Amino acid sequence: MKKAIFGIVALASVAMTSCDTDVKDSIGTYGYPQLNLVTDLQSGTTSIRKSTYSVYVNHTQGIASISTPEPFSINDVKYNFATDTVAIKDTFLDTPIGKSPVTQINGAKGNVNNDPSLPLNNFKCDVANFQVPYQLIAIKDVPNVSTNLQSLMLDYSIGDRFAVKSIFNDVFYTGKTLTTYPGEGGALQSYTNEELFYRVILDTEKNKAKVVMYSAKFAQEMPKTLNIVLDNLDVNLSRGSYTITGKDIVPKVAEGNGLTENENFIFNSFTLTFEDSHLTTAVITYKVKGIFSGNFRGSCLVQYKVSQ
Amino acid sequence: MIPKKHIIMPIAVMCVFNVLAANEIQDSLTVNLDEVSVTALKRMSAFRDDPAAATLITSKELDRLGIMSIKGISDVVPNFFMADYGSRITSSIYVRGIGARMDQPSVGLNVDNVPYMNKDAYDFDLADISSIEMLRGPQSTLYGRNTMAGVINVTTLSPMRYQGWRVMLEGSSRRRLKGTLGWYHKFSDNIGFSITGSASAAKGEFKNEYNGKYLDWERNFGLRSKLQWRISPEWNFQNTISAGYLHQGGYPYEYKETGTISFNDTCFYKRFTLTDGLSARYSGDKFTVTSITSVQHINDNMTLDQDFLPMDYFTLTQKKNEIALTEDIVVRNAAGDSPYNWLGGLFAFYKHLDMHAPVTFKDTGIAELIESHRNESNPGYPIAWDSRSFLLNSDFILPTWGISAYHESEINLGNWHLTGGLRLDYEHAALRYHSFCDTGYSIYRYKDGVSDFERRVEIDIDDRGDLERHYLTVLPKIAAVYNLEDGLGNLYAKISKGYKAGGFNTQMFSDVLQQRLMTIMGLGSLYDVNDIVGYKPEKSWNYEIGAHLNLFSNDLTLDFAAFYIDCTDQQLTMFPNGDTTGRMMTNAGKTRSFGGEVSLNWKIDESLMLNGSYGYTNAKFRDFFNGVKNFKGKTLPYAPQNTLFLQAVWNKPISASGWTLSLDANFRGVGKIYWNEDNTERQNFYGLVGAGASMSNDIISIQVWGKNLTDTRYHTFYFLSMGNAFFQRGRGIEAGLTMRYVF
Repeated sequence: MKKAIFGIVALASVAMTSCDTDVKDSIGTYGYPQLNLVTDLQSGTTSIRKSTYSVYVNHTQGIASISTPEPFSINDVKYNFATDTVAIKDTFLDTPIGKSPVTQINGAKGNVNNDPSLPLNNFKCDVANFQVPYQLIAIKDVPNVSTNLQSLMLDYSIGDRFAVKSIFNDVFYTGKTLTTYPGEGGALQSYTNEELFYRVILDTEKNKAKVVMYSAKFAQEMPKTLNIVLDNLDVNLSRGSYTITGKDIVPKVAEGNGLTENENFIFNSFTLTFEDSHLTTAVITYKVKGIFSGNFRGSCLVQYKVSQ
Repeated sequence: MIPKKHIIMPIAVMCVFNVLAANEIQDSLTVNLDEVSVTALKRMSAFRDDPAAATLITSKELDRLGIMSIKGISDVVPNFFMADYGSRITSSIYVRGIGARMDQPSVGLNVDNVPYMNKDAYDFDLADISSIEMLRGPQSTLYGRNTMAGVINVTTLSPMRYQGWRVMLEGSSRRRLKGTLGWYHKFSDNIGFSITGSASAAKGEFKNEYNGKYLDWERNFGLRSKLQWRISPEWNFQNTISAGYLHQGGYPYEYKETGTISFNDTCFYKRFTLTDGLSARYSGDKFTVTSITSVQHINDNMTLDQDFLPMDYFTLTQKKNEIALTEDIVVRNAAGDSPYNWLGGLFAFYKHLDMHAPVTFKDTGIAELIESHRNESNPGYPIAWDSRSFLLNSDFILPTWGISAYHESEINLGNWHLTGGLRLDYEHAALRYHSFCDTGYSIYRYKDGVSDFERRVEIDIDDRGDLERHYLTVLPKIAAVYNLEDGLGNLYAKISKGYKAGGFNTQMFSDVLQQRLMTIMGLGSLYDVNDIVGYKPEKSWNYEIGAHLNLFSNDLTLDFAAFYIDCTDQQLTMFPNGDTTGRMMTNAGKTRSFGGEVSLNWKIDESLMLNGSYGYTNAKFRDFFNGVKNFKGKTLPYAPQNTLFLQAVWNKPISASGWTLSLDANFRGVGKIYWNEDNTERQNFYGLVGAGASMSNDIISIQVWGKNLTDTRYHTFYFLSMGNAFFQRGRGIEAGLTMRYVF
């Protein structure tokens, strides 16, 4: 049923929806605050900027179009567009934790700034539901989240000038973390943790990232879990992707209504990369205290069954 | 074919125990027209004609064994085990591998028709018990919730049957004194009244090494009155009021590491109970209608040194105030020659429980369970608590109500009796909780040997919530009895469903609060309260075959039973890993239990009688994963694999003096019992030898007795608290003197 994605998450969208009761068709308009990774195809440099997209959907006819209600900037120049309507298609994306339903709005066409020399090419859009683990504790300087997240995974180019990938900021990744560490007698021990999840928040002003690790536990013997904030990690942008790295980071642990540094769990290294072009499958590696080597692979997408 | 008799008519029946004197049976079992008995009401046949494994213990046998509470029949009834540990709030009963250590009981208890709704009140002394009947296997169809493993029916002496005074005095080497005084009177042929009081005191057997005081002292008082009034041939009333007051120490738990009992904070249990049961019966030409109404009140206080160590970790107080109302209306056809008989009924109850359960964290608990974990995690920023003790408070309100309808039909076809029954049971349980804590601590920055104040963390928890559950259950039963010729007895087969209600385990709230506190401190993650404190109903399918045989002109009665129980969502008490003290009720996946029982009563000659019973249970997990480990194939903990009771009684009248000398020797054995799901801790089979000698006539009886004469050492309980293992020892050798006087 074509309503599936939009019907489920309509209430969670930031912007408005509408339903014209005089017309037979069921329609809705959904707003998405996003981040644009923009690569200048001439210089090869990539920058990251905030943006907002609006998706108009006619559920009855199964068509949609996408527009920018607020122009987005590239090199201090404003750009906006509104595509034509195209058919939407419900399908599934493979993730490390299963299949995730998405609604595709592919092949839309339009001109940026109504300029025929700036056509939208290779327009691809996947609307997906992102995970939000429940019972999040409040952490200072970490924003609250809504209970249900939906986002666009957009890929398009503007003529031969720019390649744009639009992603969602503030994303939770869940999956398996395998930690290895030397045990008694030096034998390598391992610990698998499926309760630890990672939250990635990008700061586009400073080009830095904040990674929050909820329920972090690196060994079976570790008595309690920790909620760790790794701040000011470096963000390295590339065309259609980015990586996050850090070295000798002193984490902060959520405590009371503040954060307390904890040198006891210093992160000697931290790296986050992506396996897929949608940037939904993250691979995270890190070393803690010079002892614990962590490896994570997981997804930010919800995996559930959609009724047909 | 054994003639069919309805229970409301006076009957004399065979019983498993003690057929020495016909009047003894008559005393204990005969249900007069003047009495209203729920056990008789819900039985379609005479006692051993029912398709059930049942044991009846008469008043004489109860006196012989010194039994004044249901705990005393443990091991005597095959496959029935009620361990003696803790205090009288702990009434953990296991039957055929099915049991419970907290919250909902697996065995129902009726005393003079009143169904006891809270197993915290199961352990009490009763004077002048006429009989204790234990029906094993699920009785859910007729008795409803929490009778999954069986039902115990206790009947006290009727003033319509006995008139006069009854006095009992008892003293024992274990520094116990007991006394009862009862007055029974018939105002007319139709009205009888009795009032009975009991009192007991014990100085204790187990010493607290910390302060040299005896722990298990006790003061126990009870008062009961019974009014029976036969207004007319059709109308019969009975009202029983009982009150009890208990104050005891208790909890003599021995620390496994040191083998000693030593703790520094107070442990006690105080309880007041008040119960009234009103039964009214109308007997018409075609049917009888009986109404049994009860009101029960329990007010108790359990205070514990929760760590059971001579250190200041934490203490717990649990104060409870509960009111329960029950109403049972039973309709059945009148006795007659019809091969078809039926009964039907409606049952409703309401329970309202208020509980206040604060946990006090003390100096050592703060230092070792909170500060040390936190400081070990972040030594660069150590903390210090505001004060060396603080409260984790929890208040609960638990209203529970239920309604059910039931029916049972019986058809007699020659030697065959076929029975079918069905019960529809609905229950609604709610929990309103309020957990709160107001404390805090300071964080310091430690560098180069210097601590500088960094900031303060305020901990102000004020959590409230409402949880509720609904349960709708259908409880069927079918049975067939084949009567053997010449009064030899019968064979039976039965399939029935058992049910134990779900609910909320309030004891886990201290752990929920601790987790909440640790999360504020940046350690650990939040519990889902509903997942942690809620537990589902337990259900079982029970398959049983058996026989009741009367041999050698009824000088030997022999009962057999074999059973198989398939249980889903068995409720298990687990001790969560780590530094927790709360006990978590969890549904264990699947378990199965099979075994058998044999009971005999053999009157060898006019003087000598032998009694015996043996029960075997093989109860294992079919599937149980607790999140860390799978216990499939392991034996269920706390349920004994074997129970054994052997007794020889010899009576000799002494010439024409009117006196009778009576000697008895008995052996009670139980075990092996595994104490944990892992089966790494256990109590092997042990036996307790007892003996007694009495001189008695129609008025007076003087008995000397001994229990555990070989001073066998054994454990009755094991548990973990904060990862520390504790046992409770069984009671040692004891001798005593009991005098009974009636006039």
